[in-house]
Formats: sequence, structure tokens, C-alpha cells
Amino acid sequence: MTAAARLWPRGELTVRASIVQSAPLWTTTSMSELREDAARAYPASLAESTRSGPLHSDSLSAVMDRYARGEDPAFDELLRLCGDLALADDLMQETFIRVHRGRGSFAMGAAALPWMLAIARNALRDHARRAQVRPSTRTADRSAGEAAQREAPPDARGDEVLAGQEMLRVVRNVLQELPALQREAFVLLRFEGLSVSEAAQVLGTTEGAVKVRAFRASEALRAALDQGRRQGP
Amino acid sequence: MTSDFDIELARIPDPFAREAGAALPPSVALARPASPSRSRRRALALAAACGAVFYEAVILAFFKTRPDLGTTSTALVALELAVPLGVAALALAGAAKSGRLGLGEPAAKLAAWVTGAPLLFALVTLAAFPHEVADGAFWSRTQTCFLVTALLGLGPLALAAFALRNTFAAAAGWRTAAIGIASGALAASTIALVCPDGGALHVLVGHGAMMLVMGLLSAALIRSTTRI
Repeated sequence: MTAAARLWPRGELTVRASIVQSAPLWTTTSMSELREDAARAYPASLAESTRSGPLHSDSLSAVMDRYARGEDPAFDELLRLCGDLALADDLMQETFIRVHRGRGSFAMGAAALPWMLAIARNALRDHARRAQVRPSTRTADRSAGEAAQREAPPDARGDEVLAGQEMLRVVRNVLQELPALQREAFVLLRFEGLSVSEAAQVLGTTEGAVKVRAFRASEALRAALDQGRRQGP
Repeated sequence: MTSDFDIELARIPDPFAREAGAALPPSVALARPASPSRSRRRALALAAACGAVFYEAVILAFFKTRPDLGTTSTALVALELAVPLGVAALALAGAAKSGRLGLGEPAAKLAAWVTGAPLLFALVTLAAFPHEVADGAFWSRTQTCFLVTALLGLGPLALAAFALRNTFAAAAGWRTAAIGIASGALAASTIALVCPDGGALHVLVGHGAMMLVMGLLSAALIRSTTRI
């Protein structure tokens, strides 16, 4: 498990919004019902993948299936980018609404995941823009609290657990303080496993720009972790 | 509470007895899809293209075709029509390509298409059209053409914005700019049927500059509409 995956552990999946207007309201928390809704709204014939590789093997219906099973890279991306479980949940719902609105523009035979990642990123950016105009009153950051409260493995040494938690805290803080463009590039390359060209397409920029942004982000992380080590116990 | 009162209560029927006891009715999918399907999108794009051509024809009918169409060089008029149309086709192709991941062409390629198409127009115009000597009326003529070209371009741009809403997942700015350039190029082609001035500088500024203006305008204002 990567540091960031441990940093913001995935909470139990709940879907509260009306995601697909043509399908029944997704106000349920039952995974089986959710899966049925997803299959009904996005039959496999809508988007079959012809590409190979882990990133490209997902058709839109397969992505919906994975979401119903509780695995969703788009949600993970949002969580890593915003660092707030509740906000990521809201943005995921917004992403689903956008996916449904834009389903007709999804290229037949293309991979659904990069398309969905790009839409999730658009949702996050729009949220950030709106937040600049109308600052949110949200104060609690659930993910930070949950990360701190996680139980250590029974055979772990106390000092190792403390050091690990400290490292996670530093990584989380640095990621949150990074400029959004650098954070996006770093998260897509490091945690979502995209190649530079794929990340560039998702971000709508050049490969060179992605490399520079990710490099700057990793340098900031390295500097913060070095500083943390020097100030360590 | 008296027993008489209990009896009275028991006589009152429950109007919701059947609904309250029964399970919720199964939700029914709407007959009409809530978002455009792929075929509907194609139909919408086709209708927008036809609408754009019709709009150009109406404006053309209003302003009347240039009086020297029969006497001037056919090759030059054809070139004046074909170059902007070629630019429009190039820009549209750049915007519409789905790319390797279905997210459109990479940003570097898109940037090359978006900047290259108007540049091609400028180069061909400067190379092929006669260089006029700017007289006193040059700027007023050019300004008039610029405004008419803007009018000609606004219709197709509005139709494209409507037909392409919620379409681009990534690089929406570049792709919308390409749509704007295509609208400007279509207008530049139509104005060639109205304006008899075939000087290179006039064609470049009065007719062609609208491509850049529309490209910038659409990237700034319509991007949020076309982006998913």
C-alpha cells in the first residue's frame, strides 16, 4: 500500500445523490442496487474497450461496476487532490452527473478511466473556483482525523508507527499546500499510475509541463521529508 | 377516554391504508433519456452545421454578393473562398479528433493546429493576394468588413456552442478555441462573396482576423459550456 493510500483510507461507500436521471434515484446505500442501476444506465454496448493494459481495460460499464464494488480510481484521485472525504464524496457525485450528461461524447472504444479522471478533475476545479467566490463554511477535515485515529498493526513497534504517522502528516500537509497544478500532476503520476502522456491528456497540457509540475511537487515533498528527518527524535 | 369514543374512532377509515402497508412502487425509468446519446449528439452537430450554412446564406442574401463576381479572376475568388474553408476544416478536425485515449489530441498537437490554421491563412493570403497601397479609406473599409465578418461568425459559433455543450472532457480550452477559429474561418469565407476588396492586407485584417478573435473569445467564454 502506498503512503498516500494509507494517508486517506477509503471510507465506506455511500451514494446519496440522484446520479442518473433516466434510471431510478440512487438514494440507496445498497451496493447490489447501485450496481444494478449502473448496469442499467450504462450497458456494456455503450462503450466497449478495445485497448489492452490495466488503464485501458475499463469500459464505462466496467468502471461503474468497479464503483459499485467500492473500487474507484476517480474517487481516489479526488480524495488525494482535495484531502477531504466528504468533499470527495460530493465531487464524485458531481462527476457521475457530468459523466451522464456527457455520455454521448464518450468515444466508442476509448478507455473510460482517463475520461472519467478528466471529468473528476474538472469537477474539482469548478468547485475550487466556486469556493474562491463563495468560501465554504466547512471547517472539519474528516480525512485528517480518520488518518490519525487509525489503529496500528498489532506487531508494529511504537516508534515506527509514530514515525510513519509523522511522515504521512508531512506528506499530507505538503500535498495540500502545493499549487493545484503540481498536485494534480504528482497524484496522477505517482498514485494513479498514469504515464506522462496519459496524465498530460487528462490534464489537457503538454508532457513537458506535466514532468515539470510533478518534479516540482516531488522536490517539495523531498525537502519537507528531509527537514522532518533532521528535526526527528 | 370513553368506550363510545373508541367506537367512533374505529369507524373512521384510513384513506392511506393500502399505500401505507404496501411496498414502494418500483421506480420507472423515464421514457426519454435525460442526456443526449451518441446518435443524438451526431444529429445535433449535423443540424448545427446545416444551421450555420443557412445562417451564412441569410446574411449573404441580406448584404448581396459582390458586384464584380463575373469580371474578377475566378481563381482568386476561389482561393479567397477555399483558404478559409480549408482552415475551418483543419480547425474542426483538430477539435473533433478523439485521440488515443478518447480525450482529444494532446495539448501540444492541439496548440499546433489552433495556431497553425490561422497562420496558414495568413501565409497563403500574403503570398497569393495582391498587396494594395493603403489609401485613406482602407481602415474604414476594413473595419466594416471586420464587423460584417463578426456578424457572420457569431451565428455558427452560437450554434456550435449549443451543439457541443458537455462534450470535451480534457483540453476544453484548446478545442473550443479551434471551434471558434472554424466559425471565424467560415465567416471569412462568406465575406469573400460580399467584399470585392481582394488586397492582401484587407483580407488578412478585415476578413481573417476574426478567426483569432473568435478563437480567443470562445476559449474564454464558451469553454465552460463545452467542457464536461
